[in-house]
Amino acid sequence: MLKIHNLTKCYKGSDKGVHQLNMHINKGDIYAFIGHNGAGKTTTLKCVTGIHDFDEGEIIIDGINIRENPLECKKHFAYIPDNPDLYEYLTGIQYLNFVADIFQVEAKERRDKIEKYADAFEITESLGDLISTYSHGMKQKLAIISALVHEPKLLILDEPFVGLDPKAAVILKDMMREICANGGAVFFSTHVLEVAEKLCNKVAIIKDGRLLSSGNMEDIVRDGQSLEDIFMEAIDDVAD
Amino acid sequence: MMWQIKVLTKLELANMFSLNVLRHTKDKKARNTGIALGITIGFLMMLVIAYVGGKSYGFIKLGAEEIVPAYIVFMSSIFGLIFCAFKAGKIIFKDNCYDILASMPIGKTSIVVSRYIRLYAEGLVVSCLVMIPGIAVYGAMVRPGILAIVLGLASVMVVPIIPISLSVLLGVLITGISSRMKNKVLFETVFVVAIVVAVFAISGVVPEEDLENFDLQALGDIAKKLSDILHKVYPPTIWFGNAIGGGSILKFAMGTIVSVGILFIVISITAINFEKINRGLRVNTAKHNYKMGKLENRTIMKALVVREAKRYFSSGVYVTNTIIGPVMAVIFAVSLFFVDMNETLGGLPINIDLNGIIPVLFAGILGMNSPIATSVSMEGKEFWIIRTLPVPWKDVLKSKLLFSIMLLLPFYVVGEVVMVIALKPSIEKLVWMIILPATIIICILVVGLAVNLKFPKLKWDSEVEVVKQSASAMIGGLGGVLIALVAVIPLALVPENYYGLVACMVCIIVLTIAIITNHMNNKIDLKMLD
Repeated sequence: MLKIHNLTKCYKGSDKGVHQLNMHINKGDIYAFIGHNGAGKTTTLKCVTGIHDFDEGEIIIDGINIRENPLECKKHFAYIPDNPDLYEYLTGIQYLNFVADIFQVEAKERRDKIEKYADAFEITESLGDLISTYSHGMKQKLAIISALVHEPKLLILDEPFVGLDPKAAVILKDMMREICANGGAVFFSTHVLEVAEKLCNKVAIIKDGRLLSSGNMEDIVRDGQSLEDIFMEAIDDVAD
Repeated sequence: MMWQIKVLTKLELANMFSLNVLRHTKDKKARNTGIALGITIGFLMMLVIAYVGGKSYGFIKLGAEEIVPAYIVFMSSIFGLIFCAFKAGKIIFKDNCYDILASMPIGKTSIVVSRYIRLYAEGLVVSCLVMIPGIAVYGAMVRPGILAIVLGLASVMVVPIIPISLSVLLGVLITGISSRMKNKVLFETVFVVAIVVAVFAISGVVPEEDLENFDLQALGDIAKKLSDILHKVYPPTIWFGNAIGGGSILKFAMGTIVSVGILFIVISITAINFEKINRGLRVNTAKHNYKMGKLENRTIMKALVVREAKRYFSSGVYVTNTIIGPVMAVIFAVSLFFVDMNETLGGLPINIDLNGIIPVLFAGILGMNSPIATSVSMEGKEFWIIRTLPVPWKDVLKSKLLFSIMLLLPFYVVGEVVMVIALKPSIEKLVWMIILPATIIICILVVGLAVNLKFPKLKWDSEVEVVKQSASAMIGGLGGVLIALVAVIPLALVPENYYGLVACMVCIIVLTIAIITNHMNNKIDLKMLD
């Protein structure tokens, strides 16, 4: 579903970025991407989603190269950033309609999906209000609904659980599982290691733009250790 | 309270004209944009200096040196008012740090004073630019004495107070009333447009004989007549003018006392209403009563254009700053009923058929400060949405162009109808009267968009930074006027028989520029826009 091959992205005048990153996310994977602040998680996600250009490497989404055919690639995934800055001058329903129009989702289908997800997140009654009146969590929920309204094959999320109430977090996890059960994949960054350990079948640990470890969760987390122990060991080893 | 004012003022002044960001940024592009903005501002400053200095020199050479002091004070006040009028409210009530300041043990007067000082600092720059060249020319040529020069330099610091205070009062009034209204943007827009129309109407009230009876041979009369007019319109010009021209300490003191008095009144009014207005601005009217109904499909282009429209009409500062051009264009067209341009400018050394160039001037005014010149920057932190959606970049740009055309179209149609009725052109001139402004406007919009793509400002805290202070707002806003002025020259100079041919060539050149620029716009990689 997503192949990242030798991805290198450097920022001018800074040693930050990512270097020679390789990842492979298959259909059915829920893939956690963990690392400390400034490790390169968001940079990687922004390269994958076509927001940032990159210096070297290749990113293939569902067989399509993001550099060669970005528009076709973007039809296959949905992205939710860490800070859901949405169009505050639109109402919730206007924003969802805008996204559905761009993806050309049929009226009946979009209504059914919006109703389903908005009811699940309990924000249906607020959809007629301007997004500027929404709390951070409500914006996050709206961003998630807008991502799901066009049934993406790949869902890319940056810190998706920040700002969500516990019930919404559970619903989001169920939705992630549903996407994977239907042949899609989920790739997300997080600092909540417990959630990553319980939810994901694969994990990658990044530090200073370099991949320290990646693979099946059960291969990485074993011998009675938690993901937190593994993560701390991995980043301490590098520091030493 | 003084230390609070000191700390807050330091904060306000630190990033005036985005200097702090430019000082600390490592982003070369941001620095280059800052340099371009600096060059533009520098160019505008040179124009102002040359204009005021030249005018002062001209007055003195014509023997009307008495009018120079009042003239430079008047010009400084007018420039200050234009510079601050529609942004004072946004600066005083800027919302990006209200919550933080409101939670700190800081008095509201300290906040108001610090923000006023920031506006004053900007006004002082304008005042220096306008007054010092005038005083220098006046001092060198007329030699009014040391006292007059000292009072003149002191006036530079006092003169901005009244225009800034009036701007703040206007800002408080507009923001205060709109904070109580549901449709804040509509109110703000109507209010600002009403003020612009009122200013034009009042300027028409100045007794015509005062202006019409100017006899260039009777230079002695000019100073007195202009002096009378300025006194009627704005008395402080005479007080400070007498201080500079006659070294009158009394008049200087009078002007200073009145200025400081107005300053205290305005700051008191603002401080008293500061919290109430801020609370009103932050009231979110969420109904929480939406029920799912039938949803409709739209084409991608329609969805993008509707989004542009909603973005535009959601921002008071965006609308009020960009609607002035179209409103003034219509006023310009209407004024043709009352003013015979050929007669008014009949004294020009060359014979120009003004009816032939009026449509181009109309287009220049119509395209002034077009919203498209800042439309990409206005995407701001929400730009990630467009970047991740499967929409071709050229469609996004096309939607911006389409919306701008739709916005200007009613003003264009009204202006055209009015011009046709007022000027009663021949069939040939009628055709060009319709085609010329249309092609020039399209070129102005495409070039405005190109300027914004060249100087995008996507990281901002307040819309004022984009709409009023960004490089693209200044270059793009004035670019339209420049395009129109360049187009005017061949049309003004061509003999009547060749007017159609030259008009046709102007249209072809202007459209070619628009097509090439549009092609270049579409080629820009949106990943490069930061």
